[in-house]
Amino acid sequence: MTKVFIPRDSAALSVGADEVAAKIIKIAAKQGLDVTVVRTGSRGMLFLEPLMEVETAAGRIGYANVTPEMVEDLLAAGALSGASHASTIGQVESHEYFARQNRITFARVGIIDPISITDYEAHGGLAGLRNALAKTPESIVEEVTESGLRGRGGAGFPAGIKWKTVLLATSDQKYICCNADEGDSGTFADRMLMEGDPFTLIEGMIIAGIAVGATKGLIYVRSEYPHAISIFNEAIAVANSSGLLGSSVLGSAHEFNLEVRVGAGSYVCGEETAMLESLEGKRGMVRAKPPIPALVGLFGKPTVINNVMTLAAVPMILAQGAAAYQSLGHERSRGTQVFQLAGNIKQGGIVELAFGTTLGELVDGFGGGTLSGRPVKTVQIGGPLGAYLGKSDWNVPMAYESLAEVGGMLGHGGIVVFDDTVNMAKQARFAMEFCAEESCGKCTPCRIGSTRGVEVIDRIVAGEEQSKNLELLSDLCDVMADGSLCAMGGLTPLPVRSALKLFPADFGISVGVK
Amino acid sequence: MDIKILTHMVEQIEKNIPAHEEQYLRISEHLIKFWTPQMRTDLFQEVKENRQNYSEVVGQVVDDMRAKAKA
Amino acid sequence: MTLLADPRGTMPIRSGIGEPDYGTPKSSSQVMVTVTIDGEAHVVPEGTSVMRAAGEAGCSIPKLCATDSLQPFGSCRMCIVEIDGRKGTPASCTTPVEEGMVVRTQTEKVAKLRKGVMELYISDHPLDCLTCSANGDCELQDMAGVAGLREVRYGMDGKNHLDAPTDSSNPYFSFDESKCIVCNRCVRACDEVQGTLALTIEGRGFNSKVSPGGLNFLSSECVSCGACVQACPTATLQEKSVIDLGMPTRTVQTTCAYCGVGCSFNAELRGDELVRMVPAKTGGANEGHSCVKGRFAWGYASHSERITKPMMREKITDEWREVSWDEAIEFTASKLKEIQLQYGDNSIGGISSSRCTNEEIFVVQKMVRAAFGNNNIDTCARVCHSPTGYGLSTTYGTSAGTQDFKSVAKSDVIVVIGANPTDAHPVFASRMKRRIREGAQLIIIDPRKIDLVESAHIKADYHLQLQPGTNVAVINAIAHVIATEGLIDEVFVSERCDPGPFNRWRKFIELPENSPEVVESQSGVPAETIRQAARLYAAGNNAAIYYGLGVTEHSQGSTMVMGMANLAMATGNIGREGVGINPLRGQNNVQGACDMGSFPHELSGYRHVSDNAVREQFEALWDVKLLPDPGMRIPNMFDNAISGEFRGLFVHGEDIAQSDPNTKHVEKSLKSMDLVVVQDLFLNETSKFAHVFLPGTSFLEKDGTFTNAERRINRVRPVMAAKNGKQEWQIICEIAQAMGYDMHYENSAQIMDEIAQITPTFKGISFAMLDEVGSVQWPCNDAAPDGTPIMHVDGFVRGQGQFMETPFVPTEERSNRKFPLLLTTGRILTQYNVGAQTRRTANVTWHPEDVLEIHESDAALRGISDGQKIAVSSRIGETILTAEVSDRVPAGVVHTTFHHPTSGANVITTEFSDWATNCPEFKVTAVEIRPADSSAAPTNTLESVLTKA
Repeated sequence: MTKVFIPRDSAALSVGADEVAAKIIKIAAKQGLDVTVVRTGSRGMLFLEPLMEVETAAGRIGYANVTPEMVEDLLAAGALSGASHASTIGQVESHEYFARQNRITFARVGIIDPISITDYEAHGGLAGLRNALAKTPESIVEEVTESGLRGRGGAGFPAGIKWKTVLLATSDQKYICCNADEGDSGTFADRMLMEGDPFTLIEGMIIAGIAVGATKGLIYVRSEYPHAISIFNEAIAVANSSGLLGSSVLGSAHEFNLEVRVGAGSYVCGEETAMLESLEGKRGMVRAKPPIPALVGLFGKPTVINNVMTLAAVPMILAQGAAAYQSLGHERSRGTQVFQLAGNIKQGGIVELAFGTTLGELVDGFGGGTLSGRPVKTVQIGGPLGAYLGKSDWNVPMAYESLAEVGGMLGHGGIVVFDDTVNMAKQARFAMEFCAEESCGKCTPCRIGSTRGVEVIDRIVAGEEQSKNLELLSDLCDVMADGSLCAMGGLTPLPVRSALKLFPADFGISVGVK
Repeated sequence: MDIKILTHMVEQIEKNIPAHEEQYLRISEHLIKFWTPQMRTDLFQEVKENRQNYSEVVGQVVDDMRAKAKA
Repeated sequence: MTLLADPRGTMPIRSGIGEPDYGTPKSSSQVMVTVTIDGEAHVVPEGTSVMRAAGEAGCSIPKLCATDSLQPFGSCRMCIVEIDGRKGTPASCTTPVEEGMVVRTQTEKVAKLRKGVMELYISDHPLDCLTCSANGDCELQDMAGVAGLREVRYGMDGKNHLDAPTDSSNPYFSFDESKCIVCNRCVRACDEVQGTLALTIEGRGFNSKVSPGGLNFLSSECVSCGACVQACPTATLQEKSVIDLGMPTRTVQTTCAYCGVGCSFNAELRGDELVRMVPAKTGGANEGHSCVKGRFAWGYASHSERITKPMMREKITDEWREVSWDEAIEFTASKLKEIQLQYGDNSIGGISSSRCTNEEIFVVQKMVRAAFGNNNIDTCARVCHSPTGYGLSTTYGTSAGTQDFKSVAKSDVIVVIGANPTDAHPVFASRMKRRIREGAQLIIIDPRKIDLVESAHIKADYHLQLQPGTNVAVINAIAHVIATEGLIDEVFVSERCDPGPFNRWRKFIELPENSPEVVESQSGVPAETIRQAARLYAAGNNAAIYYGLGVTEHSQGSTMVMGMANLAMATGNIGREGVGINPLRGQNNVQGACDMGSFPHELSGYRHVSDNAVREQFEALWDVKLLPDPGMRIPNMFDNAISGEFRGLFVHGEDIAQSDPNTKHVEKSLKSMDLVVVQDLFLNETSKFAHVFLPGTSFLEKDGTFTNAERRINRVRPVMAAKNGKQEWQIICEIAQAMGYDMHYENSAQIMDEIAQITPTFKGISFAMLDEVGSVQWPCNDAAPDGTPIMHVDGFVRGQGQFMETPFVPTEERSNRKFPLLLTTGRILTQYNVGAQTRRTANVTWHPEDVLEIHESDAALRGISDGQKIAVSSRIGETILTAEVSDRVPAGVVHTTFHHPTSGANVITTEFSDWATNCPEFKVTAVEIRPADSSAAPTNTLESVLTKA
C-alpha cells in the first residue's frame, strides 16, 4: 500500500487540493492501485501547493503545484514509488525552504493526519501533557516562565507571569481563552496550525488549564476560517471520545473541556478584552484595564488569554524542558517565531525560525524577492497597523525589542511585501480608513480620529495647506497613539508615520515631517 | 352590624387559629384587641340566644369572655 | 514636566445646578491609601479611582464618559493623567489609586492630548450652544472650556452626524442624535442602573450610534426611567420640559409621592415653575435612580381638573357649589357634631391616607380620637398591608420590614412572593436585578409570569406558579421540607426563639398534610420544585424574602405573613444584611400611616389603646379623655353605615369607591350616610357620594415627611405654594377647633416634634435633624441615634421570636361551574393605584386602559380573541374589559389592573377578607368571561350603578 499525502489546508484547497486528491483516488481505483490518500496540513511552502507527497523508502517525496490534469501523467511516471517528474522537488524535508527552518511549533504540521490522535502521539504528541500531569501547577508555571515564552499575539507579555497571576487568583471558576481571531493582513499561522495540527493547541490549552486551575477553555476563531473551525471541532470530538478532554484528562483527576466560539467578522475582537466581551455574547467593545483579564476576565473570572502560537509552543516546552526552548532566540525574545511571508512575494509561506534572523534573510533568502520581480519598496510587519520598514532595516534582528528600536513591531509575525509600484500615501490613508472601519467606536481618538485622519491625509495629498495639515496630522497621531484606549487606535499612527517618514514624496511633499 | 357578618368573622378567626390549649385564649384576645365593644356585645347576645348556630369553641370563648367581663 | 497654572476652580465638579459628580462610584473599602495628586498628599479608601480621589481633593480632572453612578468606562480620554513610574497617560477613571502613587493631573502633555481629543469631539458636534437646550448644563461645553479649545482645525466639512434625526417619540424626553458624543453613559445607565438593557450602540467606528433598538424609543423596551436622560452629558437626551421651559435655576429636595420606595428627588425650578424632577444621588432609598412615575409623571399637580376651592352640597344629587373655607369647615364641624348628638359618639369616623405626610396623618387620627372622641379611625393600609402589621408584630414584635433596600446587594437567594417589583417598585427592582445579574439566585412564587421570571439577563431559578389563594399551602410545604430534611438552623432557633411555640410549630409543620406532595394537588406546584426551592432558600448563605399585596390581599393574608416569618426564623435568615422579611409597600406612606396610629386599635408606635400607661401619656399631652377600646375598621364602618349606626365619614385622600372591594356595597354604604367629607386633589368616585369637598395639596405643595417601606423617614419639602391656600394639617386642625377641640400648630415641624415626644421609636427625629442627615430609619432614639437600617440584629423586638402555626384554610371563594376562572389583580409600571394622578399625565400613552390577561386556551374555549371586548362577571357584579391573550397567566387564571375607574375591577371583587385584619381578598375572585356583545348589557357596571344613584 502506498500512502499519498495531500493537504486539506485552506491554502492548498484554494488552489485545487481537493480535486487533486479526488483524481488520485479515482484513477487508483480505476487502475487497481493500492493507494491510501492521507489528508494532512500544509508544509507551509504555499508557493508549492498543491504539494503532493508520496511515502517511499527514501522518505516523503514531493510533487509541487499538482493539478488534476497532471495526476494521470504523474502516476504513469511512477510517482507512487517516488519517481522523478518535472514537478518533483525530491525529498520534502530536504527542500531548502524547509530544511533551513527550526520547526518546533509547526513540527507536525503537514506531516500528520490532523485528526488522528494516534498519528499525533506517534509524532511526539502528548509527551508534554504527560509530563505536566506529573507536575504541580506551580512547577508547570515555573517551567513556562523559565522557557522565556512570550505572548505571540503581538504584545510579547511573558506567558509564565500571566499564568502565575491566574494561578494565584482564587475563584470558583477560571478560564483559558485562546485568541484565534487571526485578523492581521498577511498572517495565517494560527489557521494553518489549527488545520494541520489541532491537537498541539488542544494539548497546550489543557496544560494551561492544569497549570492555573481552569477547567474550561474557549477558542475564539474568526468566521472567515470555516475549514479551521470544522477541523478543530473534529479534533475536539476525537479528544473528547479518547479521554484527552473531559472530566478526567488522560485518566487524571484534572477536568478540562473545550469549546469553539466563532467571531463575527470584527477585527477589533482580536483585541483581548473585546474578544472577552464577544465571548460573553456582547458587542465586541474594548474594556478598560485595569482590571486585567488575568484577574477579571471572562464572565468576571480569572482568565488566561493567549494566542494560538503561544499555547501551541507549550507542549514542546513541557516535553523537552524549558532549557531547550530557552536556548533558542535573541536577547529577550526566546524560542522560535513562526514568520508568515505574504504580499507581493515569490515564495510565500510559513518560516519558523529562532528569533534573531533578519528581515533580509526572510524576504530575500526565503521569499526570493517579489513575485512581480520588481524591487522591494517596503514591507509591513505586524498587520495593517504595523510600521512600514525599508531596505535600511534589512539587517535588523527580528525580535521584539530590536524591531521596536527602529519603530517597528513584530505583531503576529506576518510580513507583507510591496514592490516599487506601491503608493505609500494611499497605504497611509488605508491605515486610517481601516481603523475607521474596524474601530469598536468606544474611545474618541480612534472613533473620530481615524475618520479625520483620512480627511487630513486627503488634504495633504491634494496639496491643501500642506504644512498646516501635516502639523495637524502629527498632532492627531499623537492623540491617537497616546490617547487611545487600546492598540487599535494606538497603533494606527505607526504605518501612517512610517510611510510619511520613509516616502514623503508619495504624499506630494518634498520635506519630511518632524 | 349585621350579625351574619360578625358570625362569619368569628368563624374565620376560629378556623385560622389552630386547635390546642391556647385556642380559646387567642380567640378571645383577638376579639378584645380588634373588635369594637359593640361588635362583641352583639356577638355575645346572639350566641346567648342562638347557641346552636355556633361551634363549641365559639360558645366557650363567649362564655369565658362574659364571665371575665362580669368579674 | 511643567505644571500649568493652578487648575482648582477651573473645572466644575457639577454641571448646571446638579449635584456634584465625582466621576466614579465611592469605594466602600476600609483600607486607606495615601496618594499624591499635583503635589499634595491625600488619604482615600483603597479602590477609589484616581479621578475620584482628585475630585474629592478639589482638583477635578476633566471627564465626559465618567459619572459617579456608573462603573468607569475609559472611553472619552479626557481624564488622562500622568503617573510617576507608569508608561503613557492612563485614564484616571479606570486607574485605582495605589499606596504612594504620585499623580499629575495638569501637565503640558495631558493638556495637549485633552485639547486634541476635544478638537475631535467638536469636529462632529453642532455649533449651536447659544440656542441649545442644555446651554449652561452641558458637560461637553464645560470641558471644551476646560481644555481651552479655541479652534477646530479639522473644519466642519468632514464626515459628521450633524444631520442625524431627532427621535421625539417618548412623551417626556427627546433623543437628538446629532448632539450625541457616543460616551455610552445612556447605554450603561440602562444596563447598570436600570437593568432593562434597552439601549445599545449600533455600528462600529465612526458609525457607532446609540440605538433603542427597533423603530424609536417609544416602541422599544425602554421603560422611561429617565436614567439615560440623567446620565447624558449633553442635550442629546433631554427632558422635553427643559426644551420647552428652559434651564432650571434652583432646586428643592423632596420625596416622590408614588410607591413605597420613597425616592428622593431634586425638584428643579425656574422661578416658581417646576421644570424637572431629577432623582437625588443622596437619596437613601434610590441613590440617584428613578422610574417613569416619579421622574416624569408629576404634571397632574397642575392639571386643569385640580379642585382648589372648597365645595359643598346638601344632597349628593345636587350640583357642587364653591364656598369659603370658613363655611366648609363650619358646616363640616357642625354637621359632625349634630350626627353625634343624634346617633351617639360612635356614629362618625375618619379614614386617613397613605398618600399624605406623617404630620397630616397624625393630625387626622388625633382629630378622630380627640375631637370626635372615638377610635373610629382607619387607614387605607387596611386594604393593602394590614396583614403585614399583624403577622410581623405577632412573630417579631414590630410592624415593619426588617431590612433597608441596600440589604439586597448582600443577598445570595432572593425570594419574591406575590409582588411584581419591576412594575410596582421599579427603583427597588433595579437594585434587585443588579444583584441577580451579579449571581444571586431567584425564586418567584406567583400565579403570574411576572417580568422577573424571565427578562434581559434575569431568569428565575424556580418559578412556583401556584393557584391564586394557595400561598399558605406552599409556604407550609417549603417549611415542611426544611423541617423534615434537617435544614433548620437549630443554633439560631435555640438562641433567638421562644422554644414552646417553636416545638409546637415544628410538630405542626412536619404533619404529612403540609408535605409538598399533598400541597402539589392544592397549589398545582410540582412537589419536586417546592423541595428544590426550599433547599435553595435554606442552604443559600443569605436568603431574603420580598413580598407584596399578592401575600396580604387574601383571606389568609396574615397567616401567610406569619408563615414567611417562621421560615426566616427557622433558617436563621433574620438580623443581618442580605436576609429578612421585606414588605414592598404600595403607597408612599403606608408605613407612616401605620406608624402614626391610624389603625383603630393602636396609638402611634403600635401601642394598643387598651394600654393604660400609654393612653395616659396621650391624655396628658392632648388634654382629653381617650377610649380604651378599638374603634371601627373600614369594613365595619361600611357595614354599620348600611345598618344605620354609622352616619358621618371624613375621607382623607383616598378613593374608597374605586379602591375598595365590592364597589356596590361601598357605594350603598356611602349613600346611607348623612355626611361624607372628602379631602382630595380631584373629584373622584368617592366624591360622587360626598357632601363636602375639601381641596387638598399635592406632594409638591406639602411640608412634612413620608416613611417608606424600609422605615426611612424622608423630608417632603414644598416646591410650590399650596394651590388651595392651606396646608392639609391646617384644615384638619380647623375642623377640630370648630368641633370644640383646641388643636393648633405653627408649622408641620411642630407636629413632628409632638410625634417624637409621644412615640418612643421616633424620639430622636425632628425636621432639623432630617434636614441635617437627609433621612433616617426608625427606630431612632437614644438607643439608636442614627436610626436602624436592619432590625432584630441582636434580638427580636418582642424579645424571643415567636413561631406561629399556620394552618392552610382555603378561601371560600372557589371557582365553580358558573364562575370557572380565578381573577387576580395587579399593577402596571406606568400607572399608579386608582390612576388619579397617572391618568392625568402622558403615562396614559403606555396604558390607555385596563386589560384582562387571559390564557390562550381559556380564550379559545370562549371564542375570545386578543383585543376583543369581554364581559367579566363574578357573583358580585359584572364589568367590561378588553381581552389580552397572554402566556403570563396560566390556564384557569385571569389578571387585570384597576388603574382606570371605568374598568370597575372592584365591581366584581368580593366581600371576603383576611381573617385577622379584614384586608380584602382582592387577589382571588371566581369569574366567568364571555364576549361582551354576546348577550345583554351587564347590569352591575359602575356606570349603571351610578346612573341608578
